Amino acid sequence: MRKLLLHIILLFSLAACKNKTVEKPVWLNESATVQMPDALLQFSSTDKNWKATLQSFTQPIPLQLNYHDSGFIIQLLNYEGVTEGKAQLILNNGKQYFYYDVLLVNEKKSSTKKDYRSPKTVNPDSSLQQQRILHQIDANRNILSISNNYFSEEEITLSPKAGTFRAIADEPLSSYYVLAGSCVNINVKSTYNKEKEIFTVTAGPLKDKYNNTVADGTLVAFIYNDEEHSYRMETALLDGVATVFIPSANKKYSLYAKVNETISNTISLTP
Amino acid sequence: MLRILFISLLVLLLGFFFLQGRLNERNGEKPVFLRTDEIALAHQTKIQTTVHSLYKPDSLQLETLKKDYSNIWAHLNHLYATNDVEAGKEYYTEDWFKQICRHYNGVQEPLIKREDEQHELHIQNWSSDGLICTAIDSNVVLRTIYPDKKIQRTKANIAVVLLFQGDHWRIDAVRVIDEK
Repeated sequence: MRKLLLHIILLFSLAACKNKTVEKPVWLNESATVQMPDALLQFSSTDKNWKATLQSFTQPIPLQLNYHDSGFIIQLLNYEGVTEGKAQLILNNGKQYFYYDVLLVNEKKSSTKKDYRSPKTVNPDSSLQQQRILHQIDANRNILSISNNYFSEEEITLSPKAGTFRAIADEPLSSYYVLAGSCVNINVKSTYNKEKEIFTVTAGPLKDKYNNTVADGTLVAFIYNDEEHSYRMETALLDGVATVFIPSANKKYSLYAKVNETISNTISLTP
Repeated sequence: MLRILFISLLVLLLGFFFLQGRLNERNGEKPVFLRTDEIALAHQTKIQTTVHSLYKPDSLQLETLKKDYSNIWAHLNHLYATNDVEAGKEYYTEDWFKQICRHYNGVQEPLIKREDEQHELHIQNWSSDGLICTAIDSNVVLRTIYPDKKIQRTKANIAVVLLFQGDHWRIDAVRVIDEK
């Protein structure tokens, strides 16, 4: 009899150890699509101690639970948009889990155009062709579909005007550059300063075939000779013009300027 | 007297240097190239690539892309389970990182785990300088393990934008086209 009593007590103790079964909360405003971040998910439940997780495609979204008399309301902890797509709302009470499949959609329909260019730097001497890859995204980096396409691509021919341009007006990182090409002809002029006995020789303004001023720093060589010797002076181009000063030494010179393979006409320097 | 003065000055100096040393913050984080990415190392998946783009990546570029894309998924799965935004920051662009940080509320214990078993990466656009890749990852087989040990397999179609920044490809934008 005593043994039986002991067994009964043990049985009751075991039953007491078992977790209380909770009922699945009823989603009152159930919807297959949940609009973010405004969503207020209302549940009715007599139990407390619920934990809620919204598992989006990329990460768990922290939620806030507010209890009231007949249940609780779930809302986002951080008022932000999400990665759109299939997600799961998970409610757990102790070791009991309940799952609700939802589709997350962002309420705010913002759109940012992305326009990637390559190459970033173009020189008209070689090619003015540029590849352009386009797509659009929203504020939460969800790619948006445009005419049933997520991406598009095209080959464009840039204007030959040298300068810094932007693929997207308000995005400095989208800048691309059209450089000036090589000069097509060189004009050389000279003046003589009697007092200082110096020739001032100027080459330029140097332009490429599209009338862009040739880049600063381009090396210009001035080659001149008298009847005995040949001389060479080099200087860098600034604002399309290169200037050198040659002492006359009461000599006559013939001079021409050279930039890479482009050669100017020959002029004579007479004091 | 002079000895006491000398000893106390020495003690003061030593104390000063000791405290200065303790106050100095030591940054224990190693640079990226010295770190071992355990999450990426432990990850395995099958990636099959098909090139549809105008400009074609060469074999080496394609291998790099496959390796980095696998690492990206290792970190996406880790992020999915733990909301640990920092672990995979080497595989996220700055904008993507900022986006996921908006829902960061601390690292959490994994509730649901996800594994990516298979990818069919269709490269749609490849920039001529090899720095931009857009792709449709079709028939991604995802294995989700729930806390009650339930396992679910789904197939997803995803559009991704990858940018080559620093040493590797990084995820910049995504679109979950569908998941069934």
